[in-house]
Amino acid sequence: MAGGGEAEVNQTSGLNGSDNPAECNAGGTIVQLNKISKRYGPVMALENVDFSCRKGEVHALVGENGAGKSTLVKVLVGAVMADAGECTVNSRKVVFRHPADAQKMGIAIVHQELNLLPDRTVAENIFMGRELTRNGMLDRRGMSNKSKAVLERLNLTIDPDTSLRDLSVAGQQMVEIAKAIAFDAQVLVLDEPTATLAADDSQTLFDLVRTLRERGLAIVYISHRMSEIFDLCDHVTVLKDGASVLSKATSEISPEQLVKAMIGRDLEKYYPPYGQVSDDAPVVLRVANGANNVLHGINMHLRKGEIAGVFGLKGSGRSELAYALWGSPGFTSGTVETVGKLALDLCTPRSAMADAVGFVPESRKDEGLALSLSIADNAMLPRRTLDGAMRHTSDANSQDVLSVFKSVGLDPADRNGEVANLSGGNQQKVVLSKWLLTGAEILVLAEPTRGVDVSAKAAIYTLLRQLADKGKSIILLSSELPEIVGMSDRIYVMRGGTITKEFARGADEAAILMEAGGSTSAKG
Amino acid sequence: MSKQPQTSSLLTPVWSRLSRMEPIYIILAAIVLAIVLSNPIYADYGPMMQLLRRASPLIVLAVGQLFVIVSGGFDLSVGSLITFIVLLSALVLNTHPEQVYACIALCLAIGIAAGSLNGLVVSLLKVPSIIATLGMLLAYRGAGLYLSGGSARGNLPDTFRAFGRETVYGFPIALIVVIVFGVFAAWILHGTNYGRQLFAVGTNPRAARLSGVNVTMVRVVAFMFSAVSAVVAAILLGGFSGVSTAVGNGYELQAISAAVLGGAVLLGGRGSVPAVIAGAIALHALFTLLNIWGFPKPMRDAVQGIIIISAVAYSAWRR
Repeated sequence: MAGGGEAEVNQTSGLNGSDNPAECNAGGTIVQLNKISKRYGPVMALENVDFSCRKGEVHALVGENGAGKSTLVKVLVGAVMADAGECTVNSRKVVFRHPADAQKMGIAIVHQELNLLPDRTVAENIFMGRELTRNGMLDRRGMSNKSKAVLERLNLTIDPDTSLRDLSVAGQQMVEIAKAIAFDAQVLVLDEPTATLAADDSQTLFDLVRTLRERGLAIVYISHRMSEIFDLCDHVTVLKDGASVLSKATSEISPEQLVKAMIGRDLEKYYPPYGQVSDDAPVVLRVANGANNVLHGINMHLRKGEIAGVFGLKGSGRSELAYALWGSPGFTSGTVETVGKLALDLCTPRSAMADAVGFVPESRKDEGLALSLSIADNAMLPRRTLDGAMRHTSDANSQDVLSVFKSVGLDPADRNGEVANLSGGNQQKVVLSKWLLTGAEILVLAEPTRGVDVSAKAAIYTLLRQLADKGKSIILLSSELPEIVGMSDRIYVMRGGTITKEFARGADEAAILMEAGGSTSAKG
Repeated sequence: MSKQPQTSSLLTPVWSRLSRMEPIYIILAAIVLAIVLSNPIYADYGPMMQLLRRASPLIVLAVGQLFVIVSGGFDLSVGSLITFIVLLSALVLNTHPEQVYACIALCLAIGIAAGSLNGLVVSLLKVPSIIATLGMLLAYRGAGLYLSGGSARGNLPDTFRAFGRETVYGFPIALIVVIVFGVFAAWILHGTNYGRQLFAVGTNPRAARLSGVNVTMVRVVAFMFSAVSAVVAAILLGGFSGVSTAVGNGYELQAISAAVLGGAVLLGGRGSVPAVIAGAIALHALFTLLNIWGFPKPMRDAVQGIIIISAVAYSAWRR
């Protein structure tokens, strides 16, 4: 990134040169990683992994969290050095000691979190750190014009002089991609680019990826979503436990085979069998005409021992319903009835807790846990709050606490360790333990498996079903349709701030998606 | 992961125990050793007690400050609250010298009110604590000077000054106050459910709220604790320094320095009472050491500034 203004201008004009697809040797290998190994302490993060990026190819890189995807990408973009193995770019052997080395060779990455300045213009962001100058002054017009050219070549209608803040999340991501490839990129790594996008916006991204492919870039596409991998990608490499277990053209394998390679077993065993709740089981929670500034006309009920799913796309009011059931903020009108008594006052988390409700929020790290505190301190916080502030700290060593940890599959011996050191799946078990320790009968779970790897997901599903079979009643709110269908005894669908329809267990995914107002192209 | 240097197997247990220990205890031991070596009279009981007694207002104040720091805030108002309390007590007791205990009760009530005000402004008006308490610093300073007409007026009767000056069986009353206050604070912070809630609020207030914690109440109590510690410190300081309009000056920064020296993390969620007590003693002992070495008094401030930066840099490096 460092360097004189003159060199930068030359680089920019180089964009025009590399832009001509006719020059590309279509299908030629750009980057080849051979037998890459990387060890972190006792953990073998990568072992003899081969990986290649070819011109005009979208190469999906998939695997569970912890499988080694991010380490492989870091080796590729020069953020970490491999312990063994070699890397060639255009058949020349290279060693990347720093991300700048990889950038010079035309390898760019767009991270999941955007690295942009919201109050600067699109052009200023594209040229961040490599600004054009004229006579020692910033050449704003030059940067604006060149940005416009770059954006136009990507078929993007974004004005380079607008503030980044005024763009949608999707638009900002486009700018990030434009920034990454504006200077002679040959390889573009996209790290879960659709994770933050709504369904419609994803389509714009896919179009852009296809445009880039036609222009001869090699694209490494990291994603968990099956439909994206099969619709968009030409080739897929699966990492498991630091090794490459499958590398094939997407046309040669089925989604089932891919999932099996990722998790190492069949998908049928993924979801436990449905529960056996009869229609006359007692109702433990009933909401009638619940409404607040986002929600209206919420009518729902929950029977004892049942898992009721609530499916809704982004913006449907699903998140708000979860918070409303937890009183933060609650319903402003309507009635909420919990087991045996009228609880009109789900107006604070505290009163919901007193009604034996428990809540797993959407964002584990921002809302669920105090990361630098211990597992026990996190898990016991609600119980201690209910016990009263001036009481002597409740004992984290008592038998019932230890048995709750055991029952969710946490090692009680770790209870004084920092919760930050746990994997996502185990962190979520700590959040769930909070409410098993308060003796909650009703659990409101919002996106309980977000950011959790595939096998930990399966463990959480099994755990939830066990809880339901033992008589806990669960409301599962999720934007992942397979999870809703696989887990729910009954399914509510939300659209426009209200519940629009109720489906029976095992309902057709397409029908649910149609009702939710999503596009017909099913999400993975 | 393992940052420990390669040592022989014999040394490893010793080293790992040392590296896990809060460094402040080693720093404190080093400073005390340096004092004793520079001036052996400090090895005697009397001068050592004198040193600890002089440190007692800072210890109390730093422990109070720790509560606010653990909650994720600062309390800059304590220094001028000390001055205000000393000036007010002098005025009240000048006309009613027999009402010492009523006056102390009044001061504690003012402390509770002042702390609640800080906490409510921070929690409900969403003013960052550094600004809210900076504002209160100016308000108390102005109020104190206004009350006293700009110069120290009135006198503190001996009954009042006994807390800072007297001893029982050769043991300073000020240190008894410190011990009682310290044990109480350690129990609240490390032994009660409130303490666990305070750490949770300081680490992630949103998660704490969604776990049913009354975040406003928890924060208000932390500020109350800090303000009450300022009142206790004021009573001790008034005891051995007497009445002056500058009696509390700079104490807010000393309290923060001491807390940071004791390993409290400035963005909240970490800290312990014993380590912060050691931090306060170490800071005071360091000033004494500089004094013995003949450093001019203004050097204190410079040294203190460097200490704050070094302590925070160290804790950032250690994580």
